[in-house]
Amino acid sequence: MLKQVHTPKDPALEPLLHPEQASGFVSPAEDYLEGRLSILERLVKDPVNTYYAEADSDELSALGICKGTLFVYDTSMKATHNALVVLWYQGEWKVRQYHVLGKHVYLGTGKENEEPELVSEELLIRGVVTWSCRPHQHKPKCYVRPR
Amino acid sequence: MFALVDANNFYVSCERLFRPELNTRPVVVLSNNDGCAISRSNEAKALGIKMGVPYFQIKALVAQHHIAIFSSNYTLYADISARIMNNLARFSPEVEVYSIDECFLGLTGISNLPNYAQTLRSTVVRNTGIPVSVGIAPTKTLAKLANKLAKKSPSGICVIQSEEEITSALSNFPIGDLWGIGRAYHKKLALENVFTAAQLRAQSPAWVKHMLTIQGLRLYHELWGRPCIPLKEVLDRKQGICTSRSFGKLTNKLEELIEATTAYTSRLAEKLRADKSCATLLHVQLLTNRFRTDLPQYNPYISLPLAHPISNTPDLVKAAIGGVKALYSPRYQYSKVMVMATGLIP
Repeated sequence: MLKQVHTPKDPALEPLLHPEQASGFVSPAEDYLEGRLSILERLVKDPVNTYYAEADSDELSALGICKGTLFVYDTSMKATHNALVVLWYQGEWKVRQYHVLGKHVYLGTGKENEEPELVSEELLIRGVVTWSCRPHQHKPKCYVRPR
Repeated sequence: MFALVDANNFYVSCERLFRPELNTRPVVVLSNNDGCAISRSNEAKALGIKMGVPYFQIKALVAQHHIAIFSSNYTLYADISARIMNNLARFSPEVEVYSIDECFLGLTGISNLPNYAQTLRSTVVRNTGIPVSVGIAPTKTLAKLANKLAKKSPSGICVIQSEEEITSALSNFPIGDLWGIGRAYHKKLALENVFTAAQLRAQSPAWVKHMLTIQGLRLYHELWGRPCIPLKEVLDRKQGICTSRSFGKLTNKLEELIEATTAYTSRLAEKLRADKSCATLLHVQLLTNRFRTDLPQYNPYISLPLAHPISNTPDLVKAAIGGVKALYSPRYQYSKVMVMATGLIP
């Protein structure tokens, strides 16, 4: 049957998922529990057509994108003028600003002193970047309760 | 009306999705533990690589033609499949996911079907990057046939609506490619000089029922454009659950067989619990490599009735190991163990 694309819960990171299990009684506060804030709900509009990619260089620094930035991109969206798109060009996956001028297509990196590149070879557009998430710590550490 | 949407060379297309440089190269995906070719790109098919051919038989061809070889990555294929099916489900409320790469859709009240098929196809291709073919016809059997024809057409779609369109589609369609005609029926019909779908349809219903049983009669009516096979939107309860995998190498050691059996049986028990069923019968089979004709072949099989219906790992493993011990003979080189649970009850 149809399978939903979802992110699984990690019990190692949420050891107190069901605190009532210890006592056998369900807490009356349970009635008031709401869904936890989820960054995914905010970032992903259409999970079926959303994919992720990671920047492996600082090429797009002018756009505020550094190495390690996570891109959220949607393959169902049409690339429009000035959109940030994920594409395959000259044998490589790239993220570029997409400019359409008349019949010509240009790819830019956002740098002021750099002219956007005219597309002369076959270009494969995979999707449009909807969000990018930039790391501000180089080694993210996460505390996991020892068991 | 029914549509059948089928992904072209699905596993190969999934591998190409993130490696577009392979779009022009022949690509082959191998089965578990790199046994046989199970998905081939059109370029690989053109080189004469047949479905299911063992890898060692094509090694020379692979080196000569610079063929890209992949081990199967079912996690990736299942994810891409779910994305395709969910995109299709947005087109129609009636969906039957028929296999990992095929899906029937029920279509009602659509006036311009060729246009619809084109939109459906281009949406799926754009959103998932996987090329698909779309066949549309008044019955599921004809939709399946239309899909075969769509694969050959450059547009990737084929709509069969009117009497004349059905007649011309059937006229040269080989009987063996029809949905539900397997190798045995194919032979049986060839002896009666029935080679095309049109020839089968020209017979009387009684003759068809006599030759191909009631299933064949349904097929016959479907060929006449009368729907007999409904969409199956709810899954049947599983009849049996099986785990079998070949080892990386041949072995005749009992410990190694027991180790593999334990691993497969634990996986089987997990599957049983996920399905919320218990098994009453456990089957174990040891297999030697059938492609190594130079070695003696031995494929013993045992069915073990279980005292109680169970789905817990320790008891199933214990039973399976008992089976392996009963079957084991050190004189053979084994390549595979199969463990299967049947007689499932909720």
